[in-house]
Order: sequence, then C-alpha cells, then structure tokens
Amino acid sequence: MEASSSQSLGRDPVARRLLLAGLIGAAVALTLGIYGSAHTPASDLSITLGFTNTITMKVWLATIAIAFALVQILTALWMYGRLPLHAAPSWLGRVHRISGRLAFIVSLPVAYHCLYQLGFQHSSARVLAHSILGCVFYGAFATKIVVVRSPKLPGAALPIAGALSFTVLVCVWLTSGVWYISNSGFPSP
Amino acid sequence: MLRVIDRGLALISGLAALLVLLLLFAGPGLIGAKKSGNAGYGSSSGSGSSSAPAYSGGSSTSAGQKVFTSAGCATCHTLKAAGTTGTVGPNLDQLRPTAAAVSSIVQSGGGAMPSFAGKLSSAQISAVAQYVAGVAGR
Repeated sequence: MEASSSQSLGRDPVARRLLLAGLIGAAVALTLGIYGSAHTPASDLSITLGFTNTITMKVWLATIAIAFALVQILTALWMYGRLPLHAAPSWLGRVHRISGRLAFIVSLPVAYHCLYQLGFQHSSARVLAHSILGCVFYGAFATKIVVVRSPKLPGAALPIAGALSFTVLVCVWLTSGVWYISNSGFPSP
Repeated sequence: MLRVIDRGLALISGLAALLVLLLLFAGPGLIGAKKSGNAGYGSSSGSGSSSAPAYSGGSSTSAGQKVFTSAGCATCHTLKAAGTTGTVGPNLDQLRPTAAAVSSIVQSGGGAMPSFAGKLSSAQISAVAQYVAGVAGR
C-alpha cells in the first residue's frame, strides 16, 4: 500500500513539484541553521547603514520588512478577491511583487548580522525560537519563490506558501523586534 | 514605471542575496565593513571604549559599575557615568532603561546582544541593572 502510494507520488508531476519546492525550502533553512551553529560568532561586527547603532538598524529594518510584508498580504488578498473592494487593478500584481522584493532586501542586513555575529543560539526559549524561525523564514521564502515559478501547481499552493512565509516572518519579528521594543522602547533612528 | 522598478528590484534582490552569501563565508572585510575591534561580549579588553574608574568596592553602585565594566557592557554601550562610549548597542544615556528592562535583556539577550545568564550571577545582574537604571542619562 505504502509502496504503491509512493510510486504514484513519484509519477505525479504536481506532487513532484510540490515535494521539490518543500525540499528546496528545507535545504535552505537547514543550511542556514548549520551555518549558524558551525560558524564562530564574530561578536564585534558593527553594521549601522546610517542608523545610530546596530540594534537600532535591526529593529527598524525588521519593522520595515513587516510593513512591506503586510502590503504583500493585503495586495494578495485583494487579487484573490478576499477584500470587500472592486476588482483588483492591473498594476496590483507589480505592487505585490515589489513589496515582496523590498521586504526580502531589507531583511538581508538583519539576517546577515544575526548569522555572522550571533549565530544559532539557544540561551532562552525566545532566542531559540528566534534562531529557528529566522532559518525557517528563508526556507519558506525559497519555497514560495519555487512555487511562484512552477507552472500547473494547485491553486492553493501559492497562497499557502505566501501565508506561511508571512506568518514565520511575523513570528521572527515578534521574538526580536517587538521583544526589544517592549523592553527598551522604539529606538530613534 | 512599476515594471522598471520591479525588474530593477528583482536584479537587486538577487545580487543582494548573493552578496550576503559571499559575506557569510568570506567575512565583512570583503566590502570593507567596519568591525569594532573589540574583543567581544563578555570581555573587558575593549578598544578603549571604557575609561571608567576602577572599582572601589562597597556600595551596590560600585558593584554594578564593576560588573558593567568587567562584563563587557562598556565595549558596546555609551554610559556617561561609567565613562564608556561604545556604539555597537544602544546609548544607555539616551535610552534610560528601567532596572527591570536591563535585568531582562542581560539575562535573555536581545537583538545583537547575547545572553549573560551563564556568565553573570543573579546578584551581578541585579547590581548592574540597578546601576544602569540609576545613572543612565545623568
């Protein structure tokens, strides 16, 4: 029974594509996690990108990424007819893609600093959750990109991948930016 | 217009991801990114970011100040009362955190700051929290 179901899975091109997308995402997340664990944290890297200090930069960029991700979610809901608005305008798809690209770009300096300077840490439940979720986010994002570019997948695949990426990103932000803001206040840039 | 922005960002995001991958393995020196030169968290041998007076012993303020300078807080944080000018972490004189906030972040870590729970005792964390809350911004 199990052999026949795995044979049919292997023959089903849609299932194969979905499996491939999931495996690519898992590989990305695992690679980041392994790098974060194996790499010796630098502890002395200062990236500010014009902000007053590194933590301020990370809080701001993570929050900006969340704002762009929110635009992604709202535009996706509009395109899927889930908002009580008139039909989505033709330019909305571009806005959706642009907001996604911007969210990804502004997240990169934050992720780089986390991975290079801090690595994969587990000093508390929050830090462990943040480390895991940070890796999972880029895995989920990679899966979403593969799904976007894969033709003939079930209609639910893309919204599920997008919602998963957004949810994980929000959890990453909750376990870092929001935690910091709730303890120390929102830093001025 | 949106199409041009979209295509430009597609290129930028791809190149940025590639750059980050390169930097992860080659190090920030590849693009000349600044390293603070400090010995790192938990060390007191920072590159001149601390000119705090030596610990005189006795009061809880002095105990807190000793922890502040010896645990490596000075390498990352500016705190006028301790004579430190670190810029990796937030300026504590501007932030003026409560003792509870300091205690929490020292124990659990946050942002770029690691947890000091395994390096400092509860008494040391309490002392440094009281000290920072008491002198920040003054």
